[in-house]
Parts: sequence; C-alpha cells; structure tokens
Amino acid sequence: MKRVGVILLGLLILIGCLTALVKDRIADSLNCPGLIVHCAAGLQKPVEEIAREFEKETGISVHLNLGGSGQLYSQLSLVGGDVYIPADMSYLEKAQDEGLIDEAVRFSTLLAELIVAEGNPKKIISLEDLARDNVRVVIAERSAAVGLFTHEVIEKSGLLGDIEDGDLTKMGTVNEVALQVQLGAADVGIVWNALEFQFENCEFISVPAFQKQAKYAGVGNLKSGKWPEETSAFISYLIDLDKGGKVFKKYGFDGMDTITR
Amino acid sequence: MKQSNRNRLSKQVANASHIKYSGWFGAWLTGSLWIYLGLILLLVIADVWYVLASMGNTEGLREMLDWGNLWQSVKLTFLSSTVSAILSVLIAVPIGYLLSRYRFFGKSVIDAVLDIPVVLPPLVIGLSLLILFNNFPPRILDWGVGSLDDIMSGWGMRVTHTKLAIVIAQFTVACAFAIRMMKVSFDQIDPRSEKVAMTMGASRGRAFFDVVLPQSYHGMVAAGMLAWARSLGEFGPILVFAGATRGKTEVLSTSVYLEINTGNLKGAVLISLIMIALAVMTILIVRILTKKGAGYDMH
Repeated sequence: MKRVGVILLGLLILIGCLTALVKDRIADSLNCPGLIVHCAAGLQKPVEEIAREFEKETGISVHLNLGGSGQLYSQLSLVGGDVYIPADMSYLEKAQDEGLIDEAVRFSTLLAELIVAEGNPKKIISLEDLARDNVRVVIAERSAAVGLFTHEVIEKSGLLGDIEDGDLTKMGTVNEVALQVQLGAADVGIVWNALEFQFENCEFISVPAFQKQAKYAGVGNLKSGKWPEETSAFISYLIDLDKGGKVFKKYGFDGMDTITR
Repeated sequence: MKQSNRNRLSKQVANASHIKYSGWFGAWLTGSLWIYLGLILLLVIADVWYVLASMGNTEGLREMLDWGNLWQSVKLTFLSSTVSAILSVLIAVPIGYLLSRYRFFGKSVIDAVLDIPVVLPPLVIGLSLLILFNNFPPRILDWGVGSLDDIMSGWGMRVTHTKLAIVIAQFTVACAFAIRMMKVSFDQIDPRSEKVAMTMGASRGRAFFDVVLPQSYHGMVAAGMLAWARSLGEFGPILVFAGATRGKTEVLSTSVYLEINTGNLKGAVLISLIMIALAVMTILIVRILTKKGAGYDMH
C-alpha cells in the first residue's frame, strides 16, 4: 500500500506542477496578448526597463528574448515573434528585404569604444595598441552588431592580421566582451559606449576610427506577429521621447531626439 | 562461496526474456520506450529533413560549411573530450571508492558539495571559472602575485581563453558525473571480496587493485563514457571561459552556436547531425570493444 501511495503522490505532484505551468501559458495567450521582443544584448538594460513600464501602463505583457543581433535574426526567421530590436540598422534592412518585417525605424545612435580595466594598466589609447604583443584582446563575433562593426573598422585600418595573430578571443555578445575585461580575463575589448552605465571598474576610451562612423539601433515589427496593434503601441512607446527616450537617455544612449524627429 | 557481482549480472542477462506485447505490463514497458525513443528519433528525422529539404544538390552541401574549419573543430572536440573523460575517471575512481567504503566526519556535506557541478547552470560554472582564474586572489587584497592565471602564465601555461580552458571546463562538470557512476559501481561490489583478500594477507591497497578494480572495469568504462558524452555536449562554460574564437577555441557545440548566430541554420543543423553520428558511433565502438553491457546502467 505504501508503494502505491508514493506513486500516487508523484503523479499528483506532476499534475499539480503541469497545470501550474500550462495555466500560465493559456492565460497569456487567451486574455492579454504577450509580445515577443527580440532585443540585442547591448540594449538589454534600457529595453528591459521600458518593457516593464509598458507592461504596467497597458497590461500587455512583453517577453524579451536577448542575444546577439545575428543570433536573434536566425531565431525570428525560424520561430517568428513580434518585435525585432537589433543594434544595427543593417539587420533590419536585411529582414525587410527578406519580407520578415514591415517597417523599420531607427531610434538611437551607438558608438563603439575601447573598454579597459580601471586605471588602464596596459596604457591602451589607440587601435594600434591592440596589436601589441602583451595585450589580450577580446572582441565580439561578426554575428553580433558590435562585432560586425569591429571587424569592419579593424580590417579597414589594416590591423586585423596583427591582432588576429596576437592574443585574441571572440565572444557572442557585447555584454560578454565587457564581462571579460571587467573580470580581468582580457586587457581590452571593443563595446558600445552605452555599456559605461552598466559595467563598473572599467574605463572607456574613444577612438577616432570608431567615431567617424556611428551605428544606429533600430526597431521593426515582424509580419509574423499575432498582435499588430499592441506591437505598434509598444514601438511607439519605445521611441517616444518622453517614455522610452527618457530611459535610453538615462542609460547613456545619445542622439535619440535628433534621429526620431 | 561468495557470489561475485559479475555472476549475478550474467544471471540477470540469462533471465531476460523476449517481450510479450500482450497485457498491460508489456504495453506499459514498450509504450514508455516508444514515447521516449520516438521523441529522440523525431528530433533526428526533423533535422535530417530540414537539411535535405534546403540542400537541393551535393554542391549545396559543400557550400553549407567551411569543412576545413569544421575538421579542426571535430579534432579539438574529440581530443579535449577524451582528455577530460580520462582525467575524470582517474579522479573519480579513488573518490568513488572513498564514498562507497568509508565513513568519515562531514561525509554527507562533502557528498553534497561534489554534486554542485551537476546542479549548477552551466553558465554559472563558466563564470565561476573565469572569476577563479582571473580574480583570485582578489585584486583588492593586492598580494602582489596577481591572479591565478597570472601565476600560470608565468609558467607558460595560461588557461583563460585557451584550449586548456576547454578541458578544465569540461572536466569540472564531467568529473562529478563520473564520481556518481563510480560510487554506484563500487556499491554494487560485495565488500566481502576485499575482506577475504585481506584475511589472506593482502593490504587494503593491494586488495583494491587486485580484487575490486578488476570487478569495477565495466563501471569505469561507463563512467568514462558518461564523462566523455558530457564533455562532448558541453557549451555554456566553454563559451564564457574559453571564448568562441574560430579555429582556436572552437569545439563542435561552439561551431553550432556560431553558425546559428550568423544565420546559417542549415549549417548549424548539419553540424548537429555530424555530432550525433560521431557520438553514436563512438559509444557503439566502445561498447563493442569492451564487450557486453557497458551501458550507463550496467549493474
């Protein structure tokens, strides 16, 4: 009898947990729409905050899927979603060409900078310093927006060969790059300057080669989305200067006003 | 006479009968098998279908991936997984024996600590390794020796972002699984066999190597295979601790990740299929070489 009790108890726990999981899901899909937002990892902080505020104001729930811009592109082309926020307009243009999204709006500038440990112990001040022998460099893969940009600039400067021959490591997203420098696993990384507000114990150094060309973060609505009205409400909220704009400004994203006007 | 474990095992095998498909019991057994087996097979079939449907011709297959690069990745994956698996077994045998045969103060706490790598999310292990090697001893203390990795670099063996990091990341997780397996394996071996050897004058160590270890041979193979399989599939800790640098710290799981990130889904699925094939082949070969029953659940 005891054995039967144990089995029944196990089944009861299983059913209990399953219903709890499924109920949540059903409530989500029936009553209030849930938006799936594919957001570049570099924009995580502000977009997270904006999403929470948007949820509070409208009751529409927002699920964030974070990753490198290219990784998100793969995911949304496979499983769909509602909103795509890559860290570079080129992804939105590609998505538009392939008929995945309707409209693309750019809303913020992104500027790349060098990130080094506090006090800049290796005295890194220029792009050329990355090719030095004793410098451990970390950059993002081409699949992340910042990585694509980094590779372009370094290639143009003719330093790619030297840097690749040295102590170079690549990471999947911009946040992972900053993490490596923050923890001392690398001496210098190339990241978006907006990360300055998230990563402590680090210094950011601007480099002329990066400043010449700024990148633009943008947002687009996916054609496969099930909630077109809610999606455009979210996008309007995100790029509204008094709402999303304020949050972006707080996290150090510049130039929003000049772009969206 | 004592009945050794292996005798018991062969008796079990001899008693295995053909499945009768009638009756609720047979239906329950085979039904459960088919539910899970079906899930696994469907996963593979879906992958194959996806690649075939989008391939068109063999020309497409060639263009889908950088094959030279993939070969590098395959080599690194096999080398690192094998090293990690052997290291895991070397460490797991004494620890498993210790846990199986001895009682000592704080054993249950140590037992729980040994399970930490099993329960922790992989990314946490990667992050912890990164901190251990680059921020320990803490920089604030300023002992003047630098981090663990600075010391290792001094000996010409930097760990972070190198192939060594891959092995350490794999070993950290795989060893915990190997220890569990070895402990179960030793638990199944009758302690009386060692006692008999010791009454005949063998030392404890001698009894272990001459009597216990030969009996635990299948357990060691199973532990090694489990550790190897864990290492093969490991991803999170490697990504954070060793990086995802093409051709340098790229293992197969990293290759899949990189292909997904660059939007090459077909390539990613193709690598996954190659991984499945290689893993199944290796497990089968090891099973054949070590003869019957070297499964994970062998005892």
